Amino acid sequence: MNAVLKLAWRSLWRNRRRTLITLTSIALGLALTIFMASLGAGVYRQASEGAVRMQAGHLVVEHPEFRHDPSPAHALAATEVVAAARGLPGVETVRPLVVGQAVVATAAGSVGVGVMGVEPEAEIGASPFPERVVLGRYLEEGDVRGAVVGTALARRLKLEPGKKAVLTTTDARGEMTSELLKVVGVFQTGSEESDVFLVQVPIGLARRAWGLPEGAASQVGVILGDPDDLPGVAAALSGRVDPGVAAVRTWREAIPKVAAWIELDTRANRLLRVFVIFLVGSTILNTILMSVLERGREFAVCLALGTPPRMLRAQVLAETLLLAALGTMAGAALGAAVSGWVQAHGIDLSLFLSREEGASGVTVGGFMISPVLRCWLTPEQVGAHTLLVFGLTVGIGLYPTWRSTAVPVADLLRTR
Amino acid sequence: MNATPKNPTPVPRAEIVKLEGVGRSYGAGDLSVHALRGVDLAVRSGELAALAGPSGSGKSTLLNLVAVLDRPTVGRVVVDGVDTGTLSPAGTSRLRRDRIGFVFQTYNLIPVLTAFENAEYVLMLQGRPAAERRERVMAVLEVVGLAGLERRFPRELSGGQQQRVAIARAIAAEPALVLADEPTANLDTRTAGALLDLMVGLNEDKGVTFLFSTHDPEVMSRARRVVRLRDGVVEADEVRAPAARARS
Repeated sequence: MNAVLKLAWRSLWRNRRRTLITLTSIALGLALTIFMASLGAGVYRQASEGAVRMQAGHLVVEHPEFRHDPSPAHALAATEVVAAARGLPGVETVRPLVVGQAVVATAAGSVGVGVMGVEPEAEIGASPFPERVVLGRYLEEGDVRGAVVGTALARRLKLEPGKKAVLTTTDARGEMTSELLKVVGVFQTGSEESDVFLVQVPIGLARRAWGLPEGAASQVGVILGDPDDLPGVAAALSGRVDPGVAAVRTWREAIPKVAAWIELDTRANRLLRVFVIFLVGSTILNTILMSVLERGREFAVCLALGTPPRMLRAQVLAETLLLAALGTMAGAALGAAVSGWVQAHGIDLSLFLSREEGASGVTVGGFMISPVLRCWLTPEQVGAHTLLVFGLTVGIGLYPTWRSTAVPVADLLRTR
Repeated sequence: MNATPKNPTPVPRAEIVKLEGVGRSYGAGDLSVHALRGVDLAVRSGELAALAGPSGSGKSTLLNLVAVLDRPTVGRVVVDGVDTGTLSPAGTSRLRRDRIGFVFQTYNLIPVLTAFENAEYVLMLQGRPAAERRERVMAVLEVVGLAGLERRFPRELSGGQQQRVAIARAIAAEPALVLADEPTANLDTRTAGALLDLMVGLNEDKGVTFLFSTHDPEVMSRARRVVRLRDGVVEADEVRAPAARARS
C-alpha cells in the first residue's frame, strides 16, 4: 500500500503545473459552489426575514377562514393564543395584530389603505417600521389616535407629524365607522407597496374601527429567534390551539409570493451549481485521462514486469483520491473563508441600484431586501458540497483507472 | 479465461524456454500475416542466446510470446516448466514477476522512481522484506557498476546508466530467464560494449540465462548461441565457444 501511495504521490507531481491547475479548478469550483449556496441561503434568509417581520411573523395564527376572506368578522380571541405562543421555547416576540382595509382622508384627498393595528411595545425590535421612521417618531404606548404612515402616502395626503386624517371603514357588523387619526411619524421602508399603502395605528384604535372586542385580533404573529426552529415551534403551537377556532400557518403559506420566489431562485441557484460542478468535472476528467493516456508505455512496462493490474489501477485511483482530497480541502477552506467573510461584512450593492428616492434595496413580492447581501454559511453546506465534488472527482477517475490497464502492452513496449 | 493449473505440464528443468510448433499470425484470410511459422526452440538454463535476423523476421514476436505478452496462434510455449497457454491473467503476472526479467530497448525505467527503487520494483511486487530488498538491490547495483548512483532518478542518468539500472531490475529477483529486446540498440558502441561485458559476466559468473534479440553483428559475436530467424522460421541455430569478456 505504501508503494502504491508513493508512486501515486510522485506521479501526481511529475507534471506540477498540470496538477496545480487541476487542483485550482477543483478548489475554485468547490469554493464557488459553496459561496453560491451560502449566498443564496443568505439572500433567501434576508428576504424571508424582511417579509416576515413586515408582516405578522414566522408563524401566523388566524381564523381558519381569514386567508380566504380577511373580513373583520373572521377575527379571533387572541389572548389565549398569545399566552400559548409566549410560553414556547424559541419564540422571540408574539404580536397580536388587527389588519383591514380602509380609506384615509385629508383635505388633500382620500386614499385606500391597508391598516395594521399593533401593540407598539411589541413592534420594537420585532418589526422594521420603528427603525424606518424618517420624520417624527414611532407609535408609543398611550398613543390613542396616533398613526404612522409611509412617505409616499404622506406626500399624497400632505401628511406630516401633528397633522390629522380620518380613517373610514366598515366594521364587523357591516356598519360604516370613522376614526380620527393624528400622524406621529412617517416611515420609509423602500418598499413601494408599504410606503404608499400601509398605515400603522395602535391596536385599540383598530379594534374600535372594526368593532372588535378587547383581546380580539385578526392575526397573532410569532417571531422566532432562529428561523430554523420553525418546524418545531409550528408543531408545538398547533398542539396548543383548537384547529376549529384558529389555524397555525407558516410564513410560506402566509406570504406565498416570497416563498415562491425563493423556491424558484433556489432551483435556479442549484442548476447553476450543477453547471459549475459539471465544468469542474470535465476539467478533472480531461486531466486524469490525459495523465493516464500519456503514461501508456509506463503502465505497459509495469504490467510486463508482473505488476498485478489491480495494483496499477489502485495507483491511478490513489492519484485521483489524492487530487480530490487536496482539491476539496483547499476548496472547502476557500469557500468557507470567502462565505464567512461575506456573512460577516456583506456585499453592498447600493452602487448598482437605482438612485430614485426610496430605492435603498431590492423588493421581492413587495418586500424590501437590504442592498447589503450576506451569506448564510452552515457546516452542512460545506460538507455536502465537499462530499459531492470529492465523490464526483473519484467517480470521474474510475474510467481513467480502468483505461490504465487496458493497454496494448507488447505494442507500447516497442515504441520510443 | 484459463485457470492456473495446479500441476503445470512438467518439462525438464534444464529447458527454461521451450517452443513447440509455435506459429503467430495477424489478421485473417488473404490479408493474414505470419510473423512466426512452426518454430521449435529450446533455451537451456545458463545460456546466453541471441535471436538474430532482419526486421520483420519474428524476433520481437518470439520474445513477446516467451514473455506471455502475446499468445501463439498455434503451438505451445513453456517457460520454466509452465505452459503459458494455461495461465490466467493473475498467473501470467506471477510468471512475469517471479521467473522473467526484462530489459527493453528504450530502458523503460519508471521515471518517478530512483535507480534504487527501479531496481527494487520487482522485489517489492514479490513482497520481499525491506531489509532483503535493500541488501539485494545494493548488491546488484554494485555488480552493474552503479554504486553511489542509487538515489538518482532516470532523468539524471545517461542512457548507458539507465540500461544498467534496467539490467539490475531484471536480475535483482534472480529470475530463471532474462529477456532483452535489442538491449544495446540505443547505446553508443563503447557503452554497448560495456553493457555486453556486464551481461556476459552475469551469465558466466552467476549463471543468469539471457535470451535477447539483436541486429548488431558485434552483439551477436558475443553470444554463445545465435538463433537466426527469417520470415518467421528458424533459419540457423549456431552454438559457439564462450565469448571473450572484453570487447576491445
